[in-house]
Amino acid sequence: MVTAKGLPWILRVNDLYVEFWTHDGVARPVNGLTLQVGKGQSVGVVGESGCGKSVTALSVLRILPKAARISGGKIELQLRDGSTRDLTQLSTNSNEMRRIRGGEIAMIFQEPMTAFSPVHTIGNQLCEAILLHTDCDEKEAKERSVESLRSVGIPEPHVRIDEYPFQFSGGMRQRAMIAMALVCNPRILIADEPTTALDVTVQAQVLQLIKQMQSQIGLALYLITHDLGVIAQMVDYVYVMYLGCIVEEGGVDDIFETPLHPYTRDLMRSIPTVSGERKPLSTIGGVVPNAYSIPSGCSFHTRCKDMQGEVCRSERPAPRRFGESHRVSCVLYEDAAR
Amino acid sequence: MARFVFRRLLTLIPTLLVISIISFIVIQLPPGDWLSTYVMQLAQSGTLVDQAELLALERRYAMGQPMHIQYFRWISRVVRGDFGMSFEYGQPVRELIQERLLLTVFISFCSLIFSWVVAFPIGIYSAVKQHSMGDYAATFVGFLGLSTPNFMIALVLMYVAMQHFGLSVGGLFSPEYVRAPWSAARFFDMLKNLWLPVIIVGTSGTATLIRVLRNNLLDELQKQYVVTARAKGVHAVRLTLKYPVRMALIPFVSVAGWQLPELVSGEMITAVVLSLPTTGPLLLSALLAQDMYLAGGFILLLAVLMVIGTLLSDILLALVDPRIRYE
Repeated sequence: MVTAKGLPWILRVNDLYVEFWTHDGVARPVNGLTLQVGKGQSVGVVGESGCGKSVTALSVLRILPKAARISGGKIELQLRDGSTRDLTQLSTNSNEMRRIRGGEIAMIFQEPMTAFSPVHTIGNQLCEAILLHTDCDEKEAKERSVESLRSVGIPEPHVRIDEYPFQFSGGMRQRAMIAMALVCNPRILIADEPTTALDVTVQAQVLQLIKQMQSQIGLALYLITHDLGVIAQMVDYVYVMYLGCIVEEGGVDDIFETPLHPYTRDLMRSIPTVSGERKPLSTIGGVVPNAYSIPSGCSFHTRCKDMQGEVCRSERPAPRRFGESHRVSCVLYEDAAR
Repeated sequence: MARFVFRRLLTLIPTLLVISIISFIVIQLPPGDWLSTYVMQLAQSGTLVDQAELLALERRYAMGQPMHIQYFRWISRVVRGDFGMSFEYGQPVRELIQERLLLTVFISFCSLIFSWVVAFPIGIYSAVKQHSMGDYAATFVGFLGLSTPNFMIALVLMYVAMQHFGLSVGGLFSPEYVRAPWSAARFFDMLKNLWLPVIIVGTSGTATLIRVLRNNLLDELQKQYVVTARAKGVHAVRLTLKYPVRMALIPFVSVAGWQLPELVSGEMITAVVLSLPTTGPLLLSALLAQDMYLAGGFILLLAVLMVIGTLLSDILLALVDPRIRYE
């Protein structure tokens, strides 16, 4: 099977369910999510806070918190040797899963401030990754670390490598984070809100860097963000996520030019524009229902401006195809689908 | 790092000065001076008071001179290791304290090691396996240890050892070694008797340590850097030890040095119950008998230990936390 853009797939998440068992009951942040990432493709997952974007990513790496478990679905990864593994079948701390983490799939996080251990040098934390995934000795690992810091544009990497994270600025820290993620040549990079915590000027640099690294080593990018601007700039294929499932997906042009799902359309309307008349920014009515009580039927029906009545409350809409790669899950398009 | 230590050492000087002045004031607080008390004691016991010796003593301790001169005499003697005489024992304070202090430090050090060795694995297990049976058991035992006074544990253990094993566990030495000079045999005899006080003195420390470590670690396990390390593929056990445990130790290290004075005065009641030849009972009796040079010497020593403990803590802290070192 190939992805919508005709690329062979490398990561395929199929009908994934994740549950959190807490004192307040069972939360279901991911509810039947399906998506795939092609080799070297840039895929964006967009949605509001709390819609399960990060949980999905943590599930892929099998580093969910202890209270969480994958209760259904498959996460298939195509390994370097061409064989396929269902990651849900591996034990979280198994050697194979640990080889995949950092080796096949690397991840960078939102908070560069806290994502490094404050009491270990940057070099120590970088070398750790190299020593885990390659046969390098410590000297080679250090050389490689210096090289990777240089490649992400950190000046004087041989000096900075022995410094601690608190001696780095936010942007530099995120660069170091990228260096650490890419130092073992993974094939997929999951970037979870990589620029949200950064200054606007630094954001652009970091995004630029990710793009540049991606094209250099033919990396697939799985970008999680709530920032549609970042999506437009970075990815070719977009998944719109609401309460743990994908409500619409399509090429970046499809999504931005002809958003179909009422939720996607609301999202688009809430982007501030610089030009045009000044008017109050559009917001989506209501709040995101919490993951403890996902609404029945189409989970967006509680906030939907185009609610069609009972059918939305009772039936979960199936994805319908529009054009080559555009898919939407909404009863509005039940008949119009081609 | 060297600069950091040097700076900290410099700040020690004024602190120590103030401490010595306060200790001296404590010595001077009881009415009358110790010399007249001394003469009275000698007269009471029927010993003839040698006037020449009296004069010499008066000059030596600058009796009758203004306060600051007396202080200066006292402190310049203390610096050379002469803490004055104890009335109660008629012996130099230094002789009284010396061996007891060494024993105290030794017992306390052993207790410290004991509590660390016991508490570390339990605390880490308790946090990593939060809400497991093991965690609940550790928490239960921990609270029990925390809330039971040490002397109570001492009494119970003594009773059990006596009643069921026929062991006499009071003291630190078997009867034949109590007054014997130090020798290898005496040392081994002490080691044989050491386990009970070590366990007793160490219990509450162990309980506290388990709780503190567990709570710190629970906080740290939530942190983002743990997720980062997991995402790198680090093995769970190695990860826990390298990152969150290391971080959880930081607040702990910052107060570890404060245990130093605790070592000297902390096990006082336990030592009385177990009749250990340590400093605790001596300090207690010095305070009760208003034995001012002995008490003053103790207070000075405790305060100095406190200061040194804090210094050691700070240095340790700087070693484990680079954020402090580079400030």
